Amino acid sequence: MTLDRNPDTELDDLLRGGYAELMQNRPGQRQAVLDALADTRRAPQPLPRPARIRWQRWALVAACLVALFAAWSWRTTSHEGFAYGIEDVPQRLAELQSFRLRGWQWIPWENGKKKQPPLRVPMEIAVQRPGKFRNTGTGISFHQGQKPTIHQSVALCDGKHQWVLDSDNKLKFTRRVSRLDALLRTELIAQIAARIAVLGPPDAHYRKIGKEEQNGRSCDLYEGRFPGARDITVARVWIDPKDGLPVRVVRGQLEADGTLTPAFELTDVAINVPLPDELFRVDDGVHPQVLGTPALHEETDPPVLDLTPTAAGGGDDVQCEVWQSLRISDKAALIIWRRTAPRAKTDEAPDWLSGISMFASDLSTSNPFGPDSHGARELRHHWVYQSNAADHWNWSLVAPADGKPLGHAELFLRMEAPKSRATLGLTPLAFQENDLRELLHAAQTSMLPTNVPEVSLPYLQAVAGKLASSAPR
Amino acid sequence: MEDDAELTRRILAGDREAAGAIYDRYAPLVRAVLLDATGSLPEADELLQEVFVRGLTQLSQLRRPDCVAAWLIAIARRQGKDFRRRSGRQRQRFTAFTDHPAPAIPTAATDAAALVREAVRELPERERMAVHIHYLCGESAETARQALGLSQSGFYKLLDRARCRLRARLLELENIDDSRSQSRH
Repeated sequence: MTLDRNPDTELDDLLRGGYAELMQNRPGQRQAVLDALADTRRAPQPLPRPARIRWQRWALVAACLVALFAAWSWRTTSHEGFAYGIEDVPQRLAELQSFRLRGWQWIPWENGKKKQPPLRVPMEIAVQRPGKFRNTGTGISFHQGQKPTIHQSVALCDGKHQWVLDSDNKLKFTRRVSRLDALLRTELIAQIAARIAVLGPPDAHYRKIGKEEQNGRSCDLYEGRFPGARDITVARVWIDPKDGLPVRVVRGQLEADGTLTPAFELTDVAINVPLPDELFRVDDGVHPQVLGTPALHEETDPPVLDLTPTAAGGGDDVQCEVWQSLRISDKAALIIWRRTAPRAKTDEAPDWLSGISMFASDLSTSNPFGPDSHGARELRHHWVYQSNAADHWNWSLVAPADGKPLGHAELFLRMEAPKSRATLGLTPLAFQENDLRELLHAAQTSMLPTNVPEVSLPYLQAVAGKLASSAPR
Repeated sequence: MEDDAELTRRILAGDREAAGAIYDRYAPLVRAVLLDATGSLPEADELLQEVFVRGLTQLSQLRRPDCVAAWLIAIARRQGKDFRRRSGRQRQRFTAFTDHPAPAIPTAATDAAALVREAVRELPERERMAVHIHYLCGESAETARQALGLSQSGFYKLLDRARCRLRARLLELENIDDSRSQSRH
């Protein structure tokens, strides 16, 4: 950069160069603005209220009461004709006894800078509560200028054992699991993978765009658009209004030219149907290509809980890991995490929360991974157990500072250090009260020293109540 | 080129193309205002959509239909302030993450465009706005200038002042950049 030539022309050039990025067209964003405007216009406008005389008001109240009674009696005598919308689909999915979602996902790739047709790979998520699951995972290796290599694996659990098969159906890993561990891992898949796979980010905003027949069922078609920094994700979900559950799901990225690049499609959605046990286990004959099932160590009991971290991050200077988050009430959750020791100033005890922030975020309306965690909700923090050691787990109880329920928000733990930053996500998993008591007891036994008084569910609920009801900041 | 007042009337009548035309005309300027507030282009882009949707859906509240640029800029400034308040609270909540204050000179920004953007960000607000309008609004600069309540002579005086300041600042940054690269060798 130099300003020697002709100062005015040079400055003009520099400024135009500086503004070039702001001038760039962003057709996806333009389209999103126009679509959002159209949606707003379509929303029904309130009609002007004519002045009514008293008898009309009473007549209206009487008519409402008659209508409410009619609706109640019809609703309680028959489900026939009752139409479900999309609003409570996440809740309905969370309460299912079993489901199996099958379809395809498309992997985008580029050869040099040239976009190539995406690669299609199968995907499957099956859950049988409590404790049985089958889940495909896809890994991709990119090679400069060559077609990427796809590595698919399938994780299965029959409630007592867990297996992982590679894409050649060869057994990669097996182990015995406790009932509680199977329950925890099944809920991880049921409450995270399935919900997000079906509906996208929690609290995503959908609108009904029509009716279509799918697999012989008359469905309501909903569309959701989630604008990102670079493109717009468009999701379409076909819901059978008779049970309010999805029949087909298609998701993709809207390109600048208006075409939709597919991301995945669930074409075979089976819900609350009996699923065969073979789906969740590896047996000789069912998987003939398995090269010898390794011994399952039947003679030893598996650990009550597998304490392997579910996410980790950081750099050379600091690291942090998270295990799980358990929902204690509708407004509070326990986060179990650990970190490398903080640097202590002379004569001061180290602050184990230094450089750590925890926040809740609705993925559809915010960007928790951005530098400022745009749209994040602040969390109040209470130490349930502070380990003061890098290799021991901390127990933190958190509640949104706005005093509102967590809803479908994800929780995030961020660690910032001069040379690195890590943001780790956690879904606050919800359990039946008995299961939660058992999980808490098992986690305490596995993680906390024996001299720590029992961290019971009633105790956590009482602290959570106080934490959530303190005056909003 | 259709004037802002006419486009505003068409938007109020439900004309989608007119809304697109206003977006094309003022998106870079609104983006610049949001970038000033957020310091991050992805964040600015995310807020930009909100500014346009809010601004254009509430257009009926605009008393002077020729002032749509000023209207959008006012909304963008408000959004920027809200953003700063939110992110400020976020930082206060859990201790200060950085021991050292952010350097005044962009350490990683070695390219000229980033240095220029940084120098523009350091200008006083009115001068910065004059520079944004001049370089981002093209044919609509005159409309934007009027809508912001700047007379033609006042606008160019402000622009001259801003350019002098920018030239001095860029030379200063250039010298610092040179001395850095020398010290590296």
